[in-house]
Amino acid sequence: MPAEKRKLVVARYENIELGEDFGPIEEVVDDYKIKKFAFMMDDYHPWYFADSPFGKRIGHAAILANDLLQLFTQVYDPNTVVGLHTQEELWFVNPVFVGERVRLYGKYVEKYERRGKGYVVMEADGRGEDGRVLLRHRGVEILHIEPGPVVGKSTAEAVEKRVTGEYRKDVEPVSRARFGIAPGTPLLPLVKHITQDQIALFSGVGKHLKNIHTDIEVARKAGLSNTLAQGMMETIYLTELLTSFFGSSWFTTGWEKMKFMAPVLSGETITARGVVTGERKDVEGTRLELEIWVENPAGKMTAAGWASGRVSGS
Amino acid sequence: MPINRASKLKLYTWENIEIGEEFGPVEGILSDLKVKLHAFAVDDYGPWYFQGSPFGARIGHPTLLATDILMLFTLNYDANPPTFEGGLHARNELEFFHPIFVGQKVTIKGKTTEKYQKRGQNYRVLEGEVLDASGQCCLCMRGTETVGLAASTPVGQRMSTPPPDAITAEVPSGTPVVTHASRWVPVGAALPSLTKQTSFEQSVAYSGFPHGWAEGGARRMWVNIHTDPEDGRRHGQPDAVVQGLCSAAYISEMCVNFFGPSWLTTGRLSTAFIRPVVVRDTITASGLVKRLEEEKDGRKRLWLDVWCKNQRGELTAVGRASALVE
Repeated sequence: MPAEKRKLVVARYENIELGEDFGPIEEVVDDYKIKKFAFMMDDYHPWYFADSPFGKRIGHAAILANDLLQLFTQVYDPNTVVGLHTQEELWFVNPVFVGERVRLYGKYVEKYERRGKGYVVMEADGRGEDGRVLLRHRGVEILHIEPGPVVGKSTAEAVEKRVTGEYRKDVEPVSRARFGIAPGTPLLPLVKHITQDQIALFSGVGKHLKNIHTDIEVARKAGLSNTLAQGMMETIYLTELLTSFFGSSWFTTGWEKMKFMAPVLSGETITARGVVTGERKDVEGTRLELEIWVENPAGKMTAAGWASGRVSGS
Repeated sequence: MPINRASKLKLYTWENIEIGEEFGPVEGILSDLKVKLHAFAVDDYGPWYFQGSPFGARIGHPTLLATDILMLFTLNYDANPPTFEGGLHARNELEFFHPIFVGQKVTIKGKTTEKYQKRGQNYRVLEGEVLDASGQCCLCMRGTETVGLAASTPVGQRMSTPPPDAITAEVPSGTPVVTHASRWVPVGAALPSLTKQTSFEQSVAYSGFPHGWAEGGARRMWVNIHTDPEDGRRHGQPDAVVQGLCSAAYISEMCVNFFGPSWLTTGRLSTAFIRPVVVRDTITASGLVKRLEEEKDGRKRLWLDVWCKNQRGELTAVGRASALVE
């Protein structure tokens, strides 16, 4: 039965079925979507509005990321979600061109309980008109917990290598990727002021969704003082930071993985940061590795993780 | 104090509206994000708003703060469901004196100047202005809105009286098209029209966060006929309704293209909103050169008939626009 004809299921942990395919959903990455995304993320990179190194106008590297995350709403009722996105991982494989019709596919691949909370893991990808993979997503969410008491209380799993947020203060920040950058060198940071209008559009006000991002009453019922920015917005700020750093190579070789640790509230100004940690050789060449994180105005980390990509032209 | 709100909001009723009641001021820095919000809401990415302008620095759209003037009444009245009965923007007049620069401190204030009844409908008039840091008036606006709107009253229909020399809103075939204003353009020539595809998201962006830029953008969304399809349906519409001032913004964009910088320093725009624009409507703004008028100081003012039509060819807004020309 097509998903749209089906009665939506309450998005509770116990209702989640593994292996059930979501989509494919078709959509066109059109001029309107590009402009809306630019407004929501305050990212007006010229490649999204004019020609790019790929020969024509392209979309933001993560323009499909939230659509992939939201694929579950094909089956589960988005207005019943009270949950927490704890982890996001994206692989950037190919750029999407403006005007291109894309297809999104996904499924829940894992669910487990840990410390009394229900975790669900979704894997999804977006594909272009010719079937090429554009973007792959793996997201971990806790379903149906109360976000207020939980956020910022180390719900994330044990990290591979703890991101400390430390970097060398005695070297100039770097703006572009190259080989030979000394470990500990910071990237030029990216500062974003996040407004409620951006959050509301990002989190589904256009689809009349009422959630902890779009509706203050829902947020208050969940124990929050204000609406929150979706964790995925932090992912996309970090993607912008990394797009600036790696350039065109990010669209075909980029990888990032992060955990969400504390809420970002509507009206806050955050700083997306990165630090080069080293170079790693694999069968295809050398990747530059980084730690990445987002800080709130108090200097507290709200998201942290890792990224790597190839140096353009290498 | 960036925004002066009444300590206790009044019920928005005809009886409570007082002539001479002042609203605001709203003070804030005209932010980059406010300009970008407006660009998205009315799909106008003119380079003057993103890069530099003939005035030297980056400026805001001429109509950027129009809705912030119109919404001044929400600082004194409870404009939230369920007590707010709503209203309809019937007429609007704008006059531009100086551009507003991005990053500039601005002050918005206004007052109720009139309330009257016509054909059984209650109206109020709010006059407001935007001042720059030196106290200079950048633009002033006069907005006429209905007070309350019963579900049986179709929004926007028969609420305005057409001006005596009614606008035909037709471009005869063979009409010459002129792209730039001057005293030499022929009367009867047409301006290049503009077509806009509206969306619910743009309507939310335009109408959901009045004065939000002055508060750092943290303010909750305002639920109303423009941001809530259910509220639109309660007022007899099939969906949410795009604010009338969006149509004024489309016409203003056409006038920026036609008059150039003069629109931001001498432009005048009077519009009557005669039929609702429902989200997803496609709106085309058009104009015809009406007449050249000599002002007392000898300068020339070029007048246009301007209007908007929807995808069915129905008029949604009509008006007059003018600016000084060389």
